[in-house]
Amino acid sequence: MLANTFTFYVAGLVAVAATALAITGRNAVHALLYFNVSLLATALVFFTFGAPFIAALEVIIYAGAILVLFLFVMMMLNLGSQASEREREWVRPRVWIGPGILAAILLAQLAFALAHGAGQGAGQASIAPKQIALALFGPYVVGVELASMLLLAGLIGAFHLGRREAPASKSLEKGDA
Amino acid sequence: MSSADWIAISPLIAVAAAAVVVMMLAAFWRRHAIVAAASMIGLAVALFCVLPARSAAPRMVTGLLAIDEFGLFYVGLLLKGSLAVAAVSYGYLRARGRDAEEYYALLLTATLGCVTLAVSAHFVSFFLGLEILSVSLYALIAYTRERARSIEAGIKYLVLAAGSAAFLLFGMALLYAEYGAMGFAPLAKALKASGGANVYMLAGMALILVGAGFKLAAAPFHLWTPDVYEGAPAPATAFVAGVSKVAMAALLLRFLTQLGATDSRPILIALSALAVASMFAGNLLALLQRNVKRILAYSSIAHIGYLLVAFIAAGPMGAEAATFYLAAYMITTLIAFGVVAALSPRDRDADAMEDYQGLFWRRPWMGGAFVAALLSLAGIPLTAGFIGKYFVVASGIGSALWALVLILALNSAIGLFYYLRSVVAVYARPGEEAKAADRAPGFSLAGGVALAVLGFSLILLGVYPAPLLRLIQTAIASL
Amino acid sequence: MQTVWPLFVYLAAAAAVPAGMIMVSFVLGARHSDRATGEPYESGIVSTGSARLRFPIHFYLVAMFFVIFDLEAVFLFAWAVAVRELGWAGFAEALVFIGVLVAALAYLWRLGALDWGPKPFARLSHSRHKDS
Repeated sequence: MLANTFTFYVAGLVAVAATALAITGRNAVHALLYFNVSLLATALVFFTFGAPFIAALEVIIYAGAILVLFLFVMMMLNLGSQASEREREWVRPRVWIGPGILAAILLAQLAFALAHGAGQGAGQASIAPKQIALALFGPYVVGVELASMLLLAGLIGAFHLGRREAPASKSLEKGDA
Repeated sequence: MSSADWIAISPLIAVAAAAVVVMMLAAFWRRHAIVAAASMIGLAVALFCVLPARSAAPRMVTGLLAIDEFGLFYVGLLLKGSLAVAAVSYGYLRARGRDAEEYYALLLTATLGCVTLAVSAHFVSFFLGLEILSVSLYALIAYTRERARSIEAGIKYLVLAAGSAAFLLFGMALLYAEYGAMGFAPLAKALKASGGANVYMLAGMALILVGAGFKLAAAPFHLWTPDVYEGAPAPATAFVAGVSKVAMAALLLRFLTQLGATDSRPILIALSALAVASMFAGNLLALLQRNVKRILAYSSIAHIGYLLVAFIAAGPMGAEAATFYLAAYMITTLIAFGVVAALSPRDRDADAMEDYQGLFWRRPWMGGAFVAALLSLAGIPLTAGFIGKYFVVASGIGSALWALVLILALNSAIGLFYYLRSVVAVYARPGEEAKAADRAPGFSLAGGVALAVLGFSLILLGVYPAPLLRLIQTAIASL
Repeated sequence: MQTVWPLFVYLAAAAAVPAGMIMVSFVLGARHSDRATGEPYESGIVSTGSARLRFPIHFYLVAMFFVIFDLEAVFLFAWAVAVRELGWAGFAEALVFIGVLVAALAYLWRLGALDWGPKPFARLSHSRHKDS
């Protein structure tokens, strides 16, 4: 129980610190790295609540979102010789040492928490991923299949709105009209 | 799941399968006519599946979907509406002349969202159905992406729908936190056991009403409506106005009835406020409009106000009136937007009043259909809209809602003004300019047949509503 | 009423903050309207061109596809942790789920949405010839 409380508070502090650094960071890449650490810390907080599945979702989905943000940063910098110079700037230790230390703290915590049997739920019962899986593919299976249709609709819609005009389509239009 | 379960949800499976098949056709056999035909066949198969599903009803499928007479009635109604939209879309998209195939896949997923809403008896299916509908609609509304207005409408709808979904989810979370149930029936049981409304229940219901009110475009959650109706391509507008609102109303009807929410005074007051605000906002603002799509948008807000009067009226009579009203409203709206779609040239929608100047003399059938739709919206006898309004007023009087009925009557009088103004325009002598521009580029045989069937139903329901009424009575009795 | 007054204090404070900001900037703000007031720099070289860049839309598409398939992975993750308990019924359910998304992938592939090059969607424009 004590291990759990300790993990909760330290992870919470890391989350707050990383978020503050993400907001105040002037470099988009710095901010993204800190933001990533903040999400990992939040995942650890969920873990101490006894919700390991949500913790995993936090990592899977939000790490994905981070990747998307990286893409947008790339998008906003015009790719060119200037950009590659700037990229060289990013891989200097100065950039990744801060997020690295915070992430190391989280890793140590996770190891500590696992060794001390944390994650049993702070006051409430812990829900194992397996229980969620059994519910999801048992009584809620209609929901899962509906979710696949939801994702399908999202894909088709995103593709239609984002597709580039085919260069030949101008002449084709005349034939169609 | 037993085989009876499969039969019961076969209409949903048919729509989902049709969506996947249409998507595959769009990828590998990209021809507009074939994709359109496939989607219409898919919807027709789903409609046919309602018959065996009725024999398996009533049945709860995995606690999420309630396949009963009520749900299946609405599934049938929504599928017919969707079929009409698909038929009307064909000519419109042919006139636009490119990238038409994805439209049908999105239309089918949107339909799946609608039918899921109609049969859902659980927060999970409620929310998933709503999201499938919303995500499909974002893309359908912005489908004509070469037009800035369509993109604007799509973004507006995206932002506001996402916001309203957040309200809805929070409301569901509050109810779940207090009662520990997400299915409508278990929730009702827990509610009864706890001895009526408390602050969680009221807060949760209020948030859910905000989310539902957004989808229905009830004032004061209607701000998106005119812009989205104007910006979206006309057939997509027909779907938003005619089909998606019916689905949301069906769900709300089931939800409120099963929870016995209409016995709670604060909820009744909230619904009444929505009804009065919608009636006045819709009708008064419609007076100021010159754009046909915006007039229809404001008119639809007012109609949701009328509909809510039937929701407030207690007992099966109110539910029956609401259901009949929704059927009439759907038919009418689809005709109105169907005509707009048929008249639209490839680069814009025919939404200016001038496009309708003397329509009756240029194209008597289409002008006649448009006038019939306007008269039905105004509630003139011999149309479905009249019978619908009659039932709503009767249910209101039956529950002694005098103030609401008076406001409804007053608003109908206001509405008459702008509907008749449009009717006058259709009958006016066309100018030389309009005569020269006489074309209906978005017209197709499929769309024409759909409009003819809709117009026939409009009149049929206006003079002989008894068969539909009997069907509705069985449906409501199962609720 | 006793318990509600902090709410009103809070509301008043919430209203006071933006009102204060607007007031202070109104009182302290410079009010002059010269020829160059609207320019980014009131002195120096007059700027030319627009600060707006047009970003390649392809990044957006890849991002969207990634997020959607990422969410699919979440459901499969849930299935994977209980694959033995769920048995063949669960396998069939997961198969339907995957099947729908594989169909979506085939669709995207076929239409060239995944092509990363200067001439995307070539297949799309080609197949349009048969239409109309």
